[in-house]
Amino acid sequence: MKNDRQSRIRNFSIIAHIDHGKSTLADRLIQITGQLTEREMEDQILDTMELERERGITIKLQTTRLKYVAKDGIEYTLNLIDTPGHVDFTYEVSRSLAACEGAVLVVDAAQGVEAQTMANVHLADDVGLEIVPVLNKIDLPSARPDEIIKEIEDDLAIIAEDAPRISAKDGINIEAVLEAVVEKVPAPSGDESKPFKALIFDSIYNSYTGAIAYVRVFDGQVKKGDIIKMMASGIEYEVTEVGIHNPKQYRVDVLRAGDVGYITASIKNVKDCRVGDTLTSAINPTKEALPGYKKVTPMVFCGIYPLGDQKVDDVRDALEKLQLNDGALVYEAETSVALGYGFRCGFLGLLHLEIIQERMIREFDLDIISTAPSVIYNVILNNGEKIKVQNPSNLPDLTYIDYMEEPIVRADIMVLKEYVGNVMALCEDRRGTMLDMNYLDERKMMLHYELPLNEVIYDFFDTLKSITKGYGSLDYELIEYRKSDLVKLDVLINKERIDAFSMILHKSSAVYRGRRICKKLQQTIPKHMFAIPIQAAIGSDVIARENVKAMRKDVTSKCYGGDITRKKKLLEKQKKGKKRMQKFGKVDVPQKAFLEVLKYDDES
Amino acid sequence: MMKANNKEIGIYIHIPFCISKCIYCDFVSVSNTTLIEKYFSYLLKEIEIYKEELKNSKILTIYLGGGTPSFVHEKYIVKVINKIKKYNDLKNVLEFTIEVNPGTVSKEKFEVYKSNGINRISMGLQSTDDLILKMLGRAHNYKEFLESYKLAREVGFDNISVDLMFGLPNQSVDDFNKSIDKVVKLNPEHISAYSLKVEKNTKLYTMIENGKLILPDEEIDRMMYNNLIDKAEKNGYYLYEISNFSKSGLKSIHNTLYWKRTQYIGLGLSAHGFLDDIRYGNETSFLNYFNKIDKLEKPIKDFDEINFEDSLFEEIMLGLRLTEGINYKKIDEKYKINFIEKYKNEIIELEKEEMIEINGDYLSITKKGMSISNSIIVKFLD
Repeated sequence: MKNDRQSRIRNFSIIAHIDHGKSTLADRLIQITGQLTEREMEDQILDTMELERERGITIKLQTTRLKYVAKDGIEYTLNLIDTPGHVDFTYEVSRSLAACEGAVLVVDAAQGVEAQTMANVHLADDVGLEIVPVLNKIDLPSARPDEIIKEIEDDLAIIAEDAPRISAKDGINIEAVLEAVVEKVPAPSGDESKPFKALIFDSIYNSYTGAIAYVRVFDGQVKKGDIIKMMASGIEYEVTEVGIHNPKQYRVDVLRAGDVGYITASIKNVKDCRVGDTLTSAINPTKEALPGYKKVTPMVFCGIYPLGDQKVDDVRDALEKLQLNDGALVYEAETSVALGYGFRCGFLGLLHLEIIQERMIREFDLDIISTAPSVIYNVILNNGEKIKVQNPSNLPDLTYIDYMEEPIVRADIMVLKEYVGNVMALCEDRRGTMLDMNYLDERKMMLHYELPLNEVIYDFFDTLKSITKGYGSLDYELIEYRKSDLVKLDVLINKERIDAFSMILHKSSAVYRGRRICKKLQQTIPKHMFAIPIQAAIGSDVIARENVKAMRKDVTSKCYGGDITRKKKLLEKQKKGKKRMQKFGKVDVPQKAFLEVLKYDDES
Repeated sequence: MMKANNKEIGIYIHIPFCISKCIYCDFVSVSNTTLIEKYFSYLLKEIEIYKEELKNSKILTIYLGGGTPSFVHEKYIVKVINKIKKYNDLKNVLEFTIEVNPGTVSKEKFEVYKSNGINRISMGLQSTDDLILKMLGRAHNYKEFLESYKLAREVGFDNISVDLMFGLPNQSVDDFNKSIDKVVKLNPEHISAYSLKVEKNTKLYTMIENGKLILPDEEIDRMMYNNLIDKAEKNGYYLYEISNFSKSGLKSIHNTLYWKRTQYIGLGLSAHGFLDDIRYGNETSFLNYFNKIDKLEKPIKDFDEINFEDSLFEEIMLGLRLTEGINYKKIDEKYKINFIEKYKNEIIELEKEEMIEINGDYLSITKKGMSISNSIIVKFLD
């Protein structure tokens, strides 16, 4: 079925555990194939968002076409499809992989196989990819390539003895990776004469052209003027442009079966351009959509509200703009008694949540408050009715509730053996049940746990990193809902219940968390003209309390020799500070209080 | 700048010289006496630059502040007064104050002050406790203060103000009670009492940062303030502003000009003025001050034009420092607002806490509220 053109194409992704050098390798491949001049070559081109660079992770996918003349003398077109590097984005990774025939598996020659390495290999296996292992960071003194090759073969059942040994950082042996791709990754197949059929594996928003779909064409072809249809949403569009990335956008006349490229069609919103959806011709549609389409379902929720004088419309604008580029972000308007108008937002995971929050603050310069993150609980009422609750404020009165269920994840935690004790204590603390654990080699162990998701979404990952000196890695997936002894913890400031601080949690941790929250609020709420009681309560039972003492002194006593301007500046500063606080009844609560309350740490 | 047009004004003149710098002081002052002669020659030139303003004004008050104006030879003070008199007969002057530090004055000095029209003495005592005075870096002890005070009375000054400080490092409530008792016994017409504010770029700031000095906590500081109000009132003093007490109606007229937003000319290094809706601050370095005057320019470093909104802000901020408060009816008329309506919620809340009260057309901060007046004032600045 492969024609000549297709036989010179290779579509591949790079998969790796975080920090194993995926982005660095991608940059090297671009550089070595001469796609960009030295001057254009910025560090890690494929990670374009500032935030991505800071965190060293890829959030938005990028894709690029590389031209490479292999040792056989033939010029190949290599389409590199980047994948996001975090557990929150598993579905996106799987769709990127589905657009390929092969994946380069980058393994750190010092660290070896990690939890995400395994998770990604499983994803690649699921879509039947040829896996090309590569050992990176062989320049490190701690590199132990022979052991790691054995690890890859034993743990992942991938033949790795001839894996290229490279240093992406130093540009060592990069060509061997390209040769391995040409040699091992199958060329795409697909019939150019069949109806057009393509997979959307990513989309980005551009204010001039609307949403841009990143696609892999499986059958047929597409060109400007074609009428196309999204099979899941059923919406039709006229194609305004097709092209490829090199890595900059480059317009072409046609994309054919086997090609990777982009399509613009005046699509207003990335929501209408869903990752995993199949594109086909509206005139001559294909019968069956490509498999694997899933509507992304958010797992973690929180309320996002404007703080102080910030306008709710500004927050909406920011969410709208972020959503244009992030189909996984969902939000809807909600109101809180305490915070007024705001939005209930859903995220793939806690990292996704943090990224969106940070982007709102940094890129949109907003003052916002977020409420405690929550998962979706099943609430079974006395009358047998089952409802889903993710906003603690919507939890019915306990007298109506028969029982509740919470989501449980299976977590795979990889850790050096000296830290196993710490990790077990952490999981224990977070209500985990160990399924089993096994040695991966003499130093490394894999622990399998069942953990309630609501325990994982607080700072589980951060804590894991700190108790394993950064070596612990985590991957998790939802397995089921389980009956659980859950309660709603309320926080009362000056005798008023502040719904924004309410959270659903397990009864066993309520007293401890209640105390910590009260303490944190006491430390962060400034003194007022009156004493402020702070209480944590379950229903009408107060389980913890603290007191913010009344302010005794706030006066500019001095005269400053007629320097009124100086006095004025002092008060103006004070006034500004007040505006950055959230008013609950008579009490001003600073943004910091919200952040502190969400932290799990017990040093105070 | 426009002419003052026979407006009522005050004059502040800064004399930036001291025997030594106190550890809490962040005003512009030096102890280098070699600059005195030159400084006054420039101050006289600056007065000349302001001759039009001086000619066309009704000068109500003059205030010689510092630094320590009494530290320099009295001839300089006389020169300054005579220079102003060249442009204004000073016949409208109600109050003419000079700041005096104990130990820097003599009977002759006081006599010269008096014969040249000065009618009020402001004496920096700060504390009657010699150990505290030493710790603060004051160049005098309590005995020297008593002598200077007596001299002033002997020469016939019948309007004397004494400055006190509280909330000082190592100061107990008892220490301050003693200071109050002793001062009240002397029966000055006016007492100013400032709660210590630690300013950056002072020796005190560093000492506190390094833990060498420890400030009493807020509770103690407020106990001192409340004791002060009680004791002062028992002895016939009336709190008319956050930090100021007066007997038999002898408020500081000059400071009252500040609170009521009357115009004033600031003369001298780092002096501040308010003329024709402009607030300005003079140069704070001698060199810049001299250079600008050499060019016959006003030696202004920064200035702010006060617009309509700013002036409302100021009126509230300054007015609420006074125990009589603000006349909200007048503010309503002048700024076309409805003050009571606008701040309805704040007023209800603050009245409930007994932080403010409304009497007739006046809204004022209570004695209880004075301790947290910034927090109260901020509520009315939107």
